[in-house]
Amino acid sequence: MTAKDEHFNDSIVNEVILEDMKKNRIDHMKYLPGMEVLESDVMDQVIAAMDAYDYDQYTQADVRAALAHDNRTPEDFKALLSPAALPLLEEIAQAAQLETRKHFGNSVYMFTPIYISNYCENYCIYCGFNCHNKINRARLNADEIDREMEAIAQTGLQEILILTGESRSMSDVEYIGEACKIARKYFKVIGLEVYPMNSDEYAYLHECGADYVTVFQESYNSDKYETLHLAGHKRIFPYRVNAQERALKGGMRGVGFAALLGLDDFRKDAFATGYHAYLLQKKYPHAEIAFSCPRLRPIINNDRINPKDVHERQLLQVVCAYRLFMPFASITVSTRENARVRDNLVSIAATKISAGVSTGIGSHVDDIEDKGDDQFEISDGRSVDEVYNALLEHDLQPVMSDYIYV
Amino acid sequence: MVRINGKDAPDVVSLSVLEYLKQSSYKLQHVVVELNEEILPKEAYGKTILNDGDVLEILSFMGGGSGA
Amino acid sequence: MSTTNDKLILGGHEFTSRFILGSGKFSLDLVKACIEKADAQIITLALRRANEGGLANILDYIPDNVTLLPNTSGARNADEAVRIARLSRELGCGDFVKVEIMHDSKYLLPDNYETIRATEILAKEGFIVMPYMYPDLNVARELVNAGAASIMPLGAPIGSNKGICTKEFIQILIDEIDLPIIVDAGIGRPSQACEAMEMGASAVMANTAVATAGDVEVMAEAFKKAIEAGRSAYLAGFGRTLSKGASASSPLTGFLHD
Repeated sequence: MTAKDEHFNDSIVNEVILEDMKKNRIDHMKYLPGMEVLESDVMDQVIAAMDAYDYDQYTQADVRAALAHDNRTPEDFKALLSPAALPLLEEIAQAAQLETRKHFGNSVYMFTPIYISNYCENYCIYCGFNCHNKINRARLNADEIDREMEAIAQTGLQEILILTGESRSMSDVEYIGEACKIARKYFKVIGLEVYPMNSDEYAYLHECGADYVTVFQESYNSDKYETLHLAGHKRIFPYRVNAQERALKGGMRGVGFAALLGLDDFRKDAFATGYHAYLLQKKYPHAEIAFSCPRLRPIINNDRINPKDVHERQLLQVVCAYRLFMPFASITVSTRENARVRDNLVSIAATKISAGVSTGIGSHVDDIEDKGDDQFEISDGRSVDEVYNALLEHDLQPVMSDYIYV
Repeated sequence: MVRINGKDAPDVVSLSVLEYLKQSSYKLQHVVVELNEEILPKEAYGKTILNDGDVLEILSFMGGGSGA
Repeated sequence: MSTTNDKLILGGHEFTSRFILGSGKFSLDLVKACIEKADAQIITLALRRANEGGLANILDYIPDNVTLLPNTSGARNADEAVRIARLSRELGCGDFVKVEIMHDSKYLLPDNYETIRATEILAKEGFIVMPYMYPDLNVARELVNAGAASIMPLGAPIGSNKGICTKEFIQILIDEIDLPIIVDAGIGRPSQACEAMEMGASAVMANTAVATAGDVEVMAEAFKKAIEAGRSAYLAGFGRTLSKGASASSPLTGFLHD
């Protein structure tokens, strides 16, 4: 990290973090004991293509050519993510909407996340859960998970995304598996957003009822990644990049990808995210692909954090580029965005929206005493009913599930 | 009796494959020979003697595209 | 994209021509001239029982610098195709083989499953395997995994001259498969060969359309030009066409704030 890094987002850091960044850290490219090493060149391909991506060389003609294609190539994707595409954003949005309607009609899937534990062993300097951030920690027991899920199911939702902080000791695989089994009682679709694990562990969680796995890579720039994740398992860059492939090897039906926009050069990170998904879809043609498009948000003890140069226009550009590159992919828009942005994104290109969201622990039931603090501040606190009705007002069809677990 | 390219050849037993090919004016560089469903290498033509009951296929390239 | 240094690579061998000529149904004296007019660098051949008496052989009519691509036509299953491929290689013309397996004499459609099996066996034996197939993405992926050097989907039934009836499905193979896609069978006119190349096919194979033309040599040259034109158009990238679908009357980006 030097002053020359034009993509350095100084809203993330404070004096303590800057001091911590000077300390010696473990090699982030070296696997730790127990981490499964895949024979796969996918990461190398992604990194090489990202490094070679020079977005300033693309012109409006390249963008228009990309829009004209029926089946868009990685080259087209690069053009769509380039600065040259921004003036054409209206045309791009029209094309993205057309693709979305071709593949999804006007369906929009609804779900909610459930945070069952916020203990974390990582030191990710932008995240509210990081182990140095002084917040209230909590972990729901089986009974509390059951009550939370029951309360969520009563809102009419049929899909749930189970999240934990990344702590193997506080939320081991068996604990997550128990949560999946409870979820199976109340929901038709169960996703996981937990720490990366080995393929046999993914296979176990699939048996317990989970069907898709989302892992945010945050940034594909390993040098930057290293300065953002100062300690913990998450620091090991290649183990995280290969998580989706291990999940697929473990039998998961779908995998989700995301870069946290605003951490680094968002064009390169968005390209790497899409290309990563593209390569895995090629290698595992049966895999269902999902994208999330999170921008940095304020956290407890740092309300300054912002997504830097990723304004709403750039966010829309990224979402549309994902849609045009992989028209069949699911795209989720989280409550990091406000109601206005979310409602418009699902009208154009996103296909999945959360509702009734809390990123804290034990928030869906009033009488859970030991509640944990939130991961980030949400911008859209609407209930399931409110989001449902907003979708209808936008002539969209809310869908709770169209899925069979096998 | 030896069966050659689907026809019975009565008078060739105890000839070598090489002798037979020459006698029948095959161009050696253009043919491949299969004896009892095994490919016979060219260098073995001279020392391979035809026996009663052998099945010999003598093949060469012809014009052909798809389905020809 | 530049058209110089634009090479077709098959099993590590480089070719500048993208026209694979079938040699069936030709009178031998026309083969050589036709290869020259077509500028073809790859010629397919079939293995058959040899004629006695030192009659003219097609190999005498094919220039030395042309790569021979024996095909397994006549094979009805994988085992027969493997046998024909091994015999062909014994003739000393290299490791290329076009796997063509059919047990349907009416439409001459290839058997994709036997083709996968033969491809796997032959690729393990070091052949450069070019399987002829019915364009099915899942089968194409299996052929890739089996070790194929290219995929040869059919445009229409062999000899039908109906053009690229399977266009949408061949386009999927071109878009999804990383090996060269060579459109084989059914191409009846240069315009159809050009269309295949515009779609992004790596090469075209034709035989009947040339061999049965009124003037065989002129038709060979016409195909060559059409294939080159299609390739150049593909590399050039197409200009704008009318955008598909109507534009929405209200802008979608009006909601943006910051």
